[in-house]
Amino acid sequence: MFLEIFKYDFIIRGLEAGIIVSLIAPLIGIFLVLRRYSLIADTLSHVSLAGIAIGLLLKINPVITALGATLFASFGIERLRISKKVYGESALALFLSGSLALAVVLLSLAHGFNTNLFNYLFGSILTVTSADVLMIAILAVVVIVILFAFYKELVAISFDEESAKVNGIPVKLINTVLIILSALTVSISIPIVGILLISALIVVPVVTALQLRVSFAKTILYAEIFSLFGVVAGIFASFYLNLSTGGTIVLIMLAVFAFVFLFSNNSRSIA
Amino acid sequence: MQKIDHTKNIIELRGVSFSYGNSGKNGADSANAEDDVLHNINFEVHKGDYIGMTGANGAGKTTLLKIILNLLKPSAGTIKLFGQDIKDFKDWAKISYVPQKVANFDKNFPATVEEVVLMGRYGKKGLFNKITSEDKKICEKALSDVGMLDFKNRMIGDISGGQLQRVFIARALAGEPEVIFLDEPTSGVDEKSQNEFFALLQKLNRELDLTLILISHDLERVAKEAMHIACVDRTLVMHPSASEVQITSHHHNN
Repeated sequence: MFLEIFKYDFIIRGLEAGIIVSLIAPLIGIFLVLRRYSLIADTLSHVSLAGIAIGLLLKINPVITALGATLFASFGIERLRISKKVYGESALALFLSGSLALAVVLLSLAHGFNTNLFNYLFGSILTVTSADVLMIAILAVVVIVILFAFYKELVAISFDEESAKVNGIPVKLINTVLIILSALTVSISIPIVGILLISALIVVPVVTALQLRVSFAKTILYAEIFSLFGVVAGIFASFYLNLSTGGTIVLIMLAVFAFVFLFSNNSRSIA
Repeated sequence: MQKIDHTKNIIELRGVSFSYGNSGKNGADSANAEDDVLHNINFEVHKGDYIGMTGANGAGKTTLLKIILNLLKPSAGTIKLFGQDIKDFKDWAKISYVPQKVANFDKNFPATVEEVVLMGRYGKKGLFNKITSEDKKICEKALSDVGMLDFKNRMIGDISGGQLQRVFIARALAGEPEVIFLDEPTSGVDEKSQNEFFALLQKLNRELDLTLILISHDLERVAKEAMHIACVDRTLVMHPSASEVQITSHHHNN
């Protein structure tokens, strides 16, 4: 009865994609959260909506156009931030609202909103094709390889950017790498949790793990566990209870956060 | 100056000026500008020096530090690090920096003391090179130099301000630098820890032959500790050690 779920190909594909995404998101998330960049994920996800609108309009795989749009925007945001003529969060606001506006205009050109769009907004493993799984897997490998290559520099900059700079770490390059990785992660997360919930996937497991107050390496490990649990449990629950996949995943993650937050706070006040 | 066994200039500033209006862009006609934050600074640091850099808030100490560390570009003048023009200088691992971090430190950052000290080796290792057991040994040595080896596995947010300051010194030492800059290192640290901290700096300077440049607004304290005092007040005036000359006034109008 329980194994009934594995009879459906779309569930298998959804689980495959979900597990890959759940492992990637916290790896990026930890650096974004620690650098107070959490909203970058949110901005890039809205940018990806514009990308998806372009894809739907031109009848190209929307994940590809979303990837292009987020990469383009990530460079733009970084340029605006470096120029110091625009505050960092204002740059995010410009891109967030601008891309949402573009998306809405493009979608109205394409004769309005349809169910397809609803799936992109909130995620549905029904939309995951085997081509998507392949692309998610390839991008995931790219993200992990780049992350591994720049890991120690990312850690040092997250802790103390100025000292890192003095020590000869190429801060600008690493910042650019981080924002590109964020763009990649956002793009591959779309089919699973949908545009509007991506930042939860990237941020919530990391914030949960931070409550445990353990070493950097262990924080990443715990964030991976929370993320994997949230995504897999969310996919199962949404299947059996016929709920929105993205919404269910995020609610489970938030429930885990609430539990860990209350529990770890108690243990600390006792200590 | 006199009494230094090494004649090598580690740092050399000639005619360095800085103003916020035209930083970096080299406004050639800004030479005598009234609004220079720093004006015509000449400054030499020799190997093995222990220099206390003092001056009132807003006198330009931190700006000067940032210029030497290449975080800001001067509007005029030349800077040489280890005999090389700062524009061509690549060997930043020789220079370490202990930021004014204790007071506004993120206590929730998820890292152990050891992980923080290891960060001090990242710049020296360079891109794509992994941390090895050799690096860990160097970090353990740095932690034992500052007397914090027992705290290796503690969370960075769970130690006191004085201990945190030592960990930051250990992080600087882990890069095996020749010169360490410390920016207001004792702000937010209690009196007893301050004394231990200054004793540690003396040890690093004498036993490990490290060149130290300590930035502090606390002239009295710095005058007791350092070999030379650099007073920054838009310009820079060097004084020999307080043990040789009694410093009586905060004002040096030369």
